[in-house]
Amino acid sequence: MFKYGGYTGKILRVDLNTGTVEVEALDEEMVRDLIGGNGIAARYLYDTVPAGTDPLSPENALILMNGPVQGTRVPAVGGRTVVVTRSPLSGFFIDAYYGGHFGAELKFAGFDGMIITGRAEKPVMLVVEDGDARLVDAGPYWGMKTFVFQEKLRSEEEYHESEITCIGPAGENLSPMACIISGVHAAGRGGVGAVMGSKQLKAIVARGSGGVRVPNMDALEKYCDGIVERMQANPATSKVLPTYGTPAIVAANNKLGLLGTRNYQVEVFTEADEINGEALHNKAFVKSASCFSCPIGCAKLFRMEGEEYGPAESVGPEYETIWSYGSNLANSDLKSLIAADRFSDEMGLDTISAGSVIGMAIEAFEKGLITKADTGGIELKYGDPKLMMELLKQIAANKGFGKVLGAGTREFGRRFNAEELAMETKGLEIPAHSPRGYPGMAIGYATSNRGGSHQDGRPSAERGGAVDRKQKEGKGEYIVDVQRMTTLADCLVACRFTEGIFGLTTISEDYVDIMKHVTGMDYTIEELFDVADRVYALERAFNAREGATRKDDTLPYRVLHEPIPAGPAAGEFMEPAVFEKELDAYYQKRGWDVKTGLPTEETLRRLKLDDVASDLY
Amino acid sequence: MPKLCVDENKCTDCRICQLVCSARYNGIYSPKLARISKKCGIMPDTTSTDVCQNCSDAPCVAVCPAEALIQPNGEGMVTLDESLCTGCAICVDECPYDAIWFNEETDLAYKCDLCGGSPECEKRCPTEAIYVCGEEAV
Repeated sequence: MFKYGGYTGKILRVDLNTGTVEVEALDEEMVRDLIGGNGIAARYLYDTVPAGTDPLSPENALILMNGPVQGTRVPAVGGRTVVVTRSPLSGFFIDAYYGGHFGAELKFAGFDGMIITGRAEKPVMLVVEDGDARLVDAGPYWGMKTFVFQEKLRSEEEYHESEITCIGPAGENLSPMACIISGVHAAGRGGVGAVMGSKQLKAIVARGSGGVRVPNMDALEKYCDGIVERMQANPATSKVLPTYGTPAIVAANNKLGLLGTRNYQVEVFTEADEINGEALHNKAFVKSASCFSCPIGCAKLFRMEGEEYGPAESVGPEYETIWSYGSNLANSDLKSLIAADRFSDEMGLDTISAGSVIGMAIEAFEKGLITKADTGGIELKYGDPKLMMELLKQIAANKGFGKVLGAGTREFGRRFNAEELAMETKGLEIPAHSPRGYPGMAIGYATSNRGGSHQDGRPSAERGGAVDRKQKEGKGEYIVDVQRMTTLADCLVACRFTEGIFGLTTISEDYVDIMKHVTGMDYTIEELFDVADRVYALERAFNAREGATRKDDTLPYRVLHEPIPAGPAAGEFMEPAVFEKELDAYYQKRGWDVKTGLPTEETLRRLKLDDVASDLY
Repeated sequence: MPKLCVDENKCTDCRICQLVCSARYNGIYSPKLARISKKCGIMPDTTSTDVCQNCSDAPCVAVCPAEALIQPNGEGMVTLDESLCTGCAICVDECPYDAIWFNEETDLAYKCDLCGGSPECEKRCPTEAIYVCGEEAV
């Protein structure tokens, strides 16, 4: 039995070149230093994938990892999993998370995670069951959409009641915007689905009859009851999210004048009431759903009659998708948003990046930077849901103009001399939390190792008023502590919706308590800061090997040079001089070199990353 | 009959019922060891539950060769006396609701007994989807 509670102590190592599947022990010291999830996966990626590896080559690794809490009752963390790889969209480190039930089932099947390299000769799936794993022919399923595939597989006696992680046609077609789907949940960002597709791996199927042991069940159960009580006392986790889900954020951001519209040209969407949380709830709500062990139930099944855009039935759209396919495209057709969300899940397509590049292309078309000669004869315009559906189909097919779009906004900008319209950092499209209106989040986007993600740093405290949204001074240092919290939560693989309970702006005692109750390990807060810093430095070192420096920690041109033109937040943006000053402060607080944007040798050695220090210096 | 009822429209498939059940009776988080079983398709409006219905003249009681399953006068709660259970698993096959299971480690059958009247799962179901119903409900 593994030394610490919560873990199975076993990792699968799969080589698809040779078809070998091996079980190896999880290293206890590694667990102590990196905890799990993103932390352990970052270490495996750094050690497995050499610099310059083509993300879609067999040499890239696809790493799925649990943390210690998956499979337990610790609220809102139980079923999540992280996928880590080198992104074909950004070329940098990517960690993409998904909820649902897979993480828990993988643990009940006996494993904390897996490292998959190579490329199968023919489509395969990895079947993991009760301490064992095998590769199975997936030829009959290749080409299937994700929901159809999962239902089909579960209808077969052999895979009855299994949890499935899979790709759809977008991943098979190697779209750099392809995501990985499990149930109705997506590991969305950075093209992780294309990496899976490049390995000819259709799915990972888990089924287990095992369980998760903890040092003192009574103490943990009591602690969980206490967290639930705190969730019940918090309006976000007891009312807003259970009732409306994340679509509630649409109205809040639009009221502040911070709802990205028409590729962030403006930030007020005059038709936002048509697509906000109330509208979805009143016109389309069917039922709530939860991830494993979560009492919040933020997922919403929405359904509307009529199939002019395809089936309008989906768990979602979430807030990000309402922005990306809605306000960002000036599209207020609610039914089309539900249908496009469903289509994207079925094809396995990241709605954030797909909506962002479509919004950018329409702006480029309107400004004459591209013409019908570039779009395959299609006229691009905002407010056209049928056009949106057509372009999504093309992106998923990864052909023609769809292939141009699917390469992402950075590539699109370079190709058509439209870089000033690209809303990305490090090649990953920024999502729906305004970098002009949330300066802390802006520095989070800029310094995120994965690029334009709202998960390295958070907008929540600035949006809710816990910190002054408009203050820019000090936000560089501020976001370091927020990132420490998000990084640590990613090691546990905890959902961000615990942030209102465990703390919005830094690592709290709750993480000490969770680690103690679940694993039996005693950490101080300072030691947890070190874990988070170690993991973030590891990610940064991976990027450094791919050539990343301070110049990559930047923001879109629009954010740095074009103030919000109108509305409640008119005039707000991130002045370059302010940004650079805050970036300096950010690096200094982290113990990183302000010139290179990389951890110093001293910092790396302090974090027990001597091998990384030797690689970089 | 007193039994656990589940309002599937309220159930979000969080499986907390299974977690608190296995935590209490097995000291481990393991849905497969829970005395209540949840199933769900890809879409969340497809949840279903398997749990003991405390049938009148319960067929499991009738077939138990060890008289380990007990239901006085053929009415009310069916309880399992583990000290009498021989692990033959005939009851598992007989249950019309697939609500008796077999523990490979202990070689014993297991089923819901409403925690003696105040079920853990009912107390902790976040949406109040689970409740004790039936005319003799506590």
